[in-house]
Amino acid sequence: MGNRVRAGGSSAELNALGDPDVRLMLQVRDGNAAAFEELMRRYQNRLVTVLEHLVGKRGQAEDLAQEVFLRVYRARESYVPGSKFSTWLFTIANNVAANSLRSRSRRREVQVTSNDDDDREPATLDQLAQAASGLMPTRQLDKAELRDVVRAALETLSERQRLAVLLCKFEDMSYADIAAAMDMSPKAIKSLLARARDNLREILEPYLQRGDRPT
Amino acid sequence: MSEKASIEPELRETLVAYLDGELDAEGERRVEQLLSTDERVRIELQRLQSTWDLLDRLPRAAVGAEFTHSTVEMVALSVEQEARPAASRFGRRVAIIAVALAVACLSGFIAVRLSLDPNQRLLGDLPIVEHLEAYRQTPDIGFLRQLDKAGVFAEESSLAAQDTIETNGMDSVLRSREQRRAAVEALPVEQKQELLRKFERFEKLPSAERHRLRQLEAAVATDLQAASLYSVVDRYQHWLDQLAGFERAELMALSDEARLARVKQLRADEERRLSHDDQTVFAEWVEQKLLERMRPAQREQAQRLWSGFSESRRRQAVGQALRLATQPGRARPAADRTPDLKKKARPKPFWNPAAREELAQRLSPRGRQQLEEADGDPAQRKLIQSWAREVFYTPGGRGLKLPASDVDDQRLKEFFEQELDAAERAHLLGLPSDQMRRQLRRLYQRAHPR
Repeated sequence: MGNRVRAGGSSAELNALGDPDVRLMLQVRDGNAAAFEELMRRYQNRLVTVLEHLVGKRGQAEDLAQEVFLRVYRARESYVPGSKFSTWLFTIANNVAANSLRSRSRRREVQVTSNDDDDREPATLDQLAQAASGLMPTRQLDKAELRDVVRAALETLSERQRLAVLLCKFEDMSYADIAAAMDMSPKAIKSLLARARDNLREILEPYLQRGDRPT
Repeated sequence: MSEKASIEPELRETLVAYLDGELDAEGERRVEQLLSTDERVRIELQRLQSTWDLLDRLPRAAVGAEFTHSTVEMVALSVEQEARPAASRFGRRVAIIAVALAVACLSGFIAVRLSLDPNQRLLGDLPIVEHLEAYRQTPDIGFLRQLDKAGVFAEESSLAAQDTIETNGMDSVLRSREQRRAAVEALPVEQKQELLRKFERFEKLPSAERHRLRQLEAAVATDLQAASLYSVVDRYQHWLDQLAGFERAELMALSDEARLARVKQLRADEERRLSHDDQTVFAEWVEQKLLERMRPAQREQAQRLWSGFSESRRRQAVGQALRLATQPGRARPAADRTPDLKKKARPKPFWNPAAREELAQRLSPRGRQQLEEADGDPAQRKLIQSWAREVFYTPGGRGLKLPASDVDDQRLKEFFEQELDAAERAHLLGLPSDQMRRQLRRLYQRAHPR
């Protein structure tokens, strides 16, 4: 008891106060329930989006998002600003999602597509095409099909690559913030994202090229 | 079969970092140099970018109010469960009350909202809600007194006619609840909706801020100069309403003292500024005077060229011609040149007394008054020069300075108000002022790539 949850490094404390969401969180700490609701409104869609692409199921993503908000609320009294609120929130989300994926893997409920080896070979083009749109021949991709192919491509990435990609792409987070949220170094994030993007390119590019030239 | 990458992993990392904006200036320069000389690298960069762009196709979740409510209920329930084990009989009762309160609070004040008629609350706080921006931007009654004393929102200000504001003065304060209700009910639908939006914003404020605003309003209501202060509040509110959202946010971010100085400065700038109609009159007058000074062939060419332009382009062209005509040593008729070439000749200004009189006749009463109030020839010339700067060389805006850029204030303002959705605007307004401007500019550049 008494140990305050530090949302980032102490050197960033002053800077963090410039973040309006940090200021809202400080109001939550001071017992302002409306501020908590406002924070939820600001982040719920963003959080569920990232979690859904991370765990692959909408319902589960919503459950996990609720768990994240619960942890935020429970930690309110010991909250100390140290970095951007979003970085802190996605740090919690990363932990919650990792726990969930671990237990799901143990229970063998579903075949988790993630893989601990970041450099493994991605699924082949044909596997992806089939996964996304059935056994259709190559042709011009319609919007829904393209979305499914992109989703399937994302699912071939490891969990870590996927989360880094989602935070970079959807949350526009810097490497330093992603590193803080994922408890890694910025240098490691740089390599991780480069490998992830290369994997995505390898998977998506040939498929798109064939789709562009229907037979 | 997948294509293998054709470049080294380190270079790929650098390219990805370049695409993500993570390189320093030196790193960016190196990559750009490489891109200009190595086609292999250029192609790799394009391939990485195009597949990355495909991720935009992924769906984004939209969970809505139901999710919010169920989450706050879950959080409240969890608070209850945490309280339960340690609770004695008495303590448990306290815990239940605490939980009931927590549920009420966390459920977006649902219970509170049901227990009190929102209309009653609106009517009670009506004087604040109607002037929400003004009160939010007022730290204390002393601030209003200073505005009053400086006369920046005084009725006799030369801008008063332009403001065309129907001041409520103390009306909304003195009216009984029933009268307030009747007044609100009589409003047109759009104004009711606007009032409701303000009320919602007021209700979402932290309770400490709501308390502060009520205290402030009560202090104004009981002040000896209440009528005069309410008039200032009315006009201040009206003026704030005319500002773009980010301009209001910028004012809000200033310290109290700096805000007061800024408001005074902006109002003083507006006092000197021409109305929109007078700007048009002034631009036409300058164009006419410039054409009169040209040789016939030159005049005919300019008239033909300018008549094909849009209004803004035409103003730009006239501005350029004006700059040339008033530049030392340029556009001066050969006959007027002094033989001493070392001495740079200043062109004779065309806003001589007769031309100024001609301008005065065309301006609105307020514009004419401004010109006449400029005491003496130098003052009038200075005023005309400042109008020329405003009409031809200032790209819109009220003088709130942005960093140098090819996007002007006016364009950013339009982009903010017309192209961003409510959520994006709300996000921007929630940012600190300088961050908001940087973000707005980035969004603009993203939406309007060169």
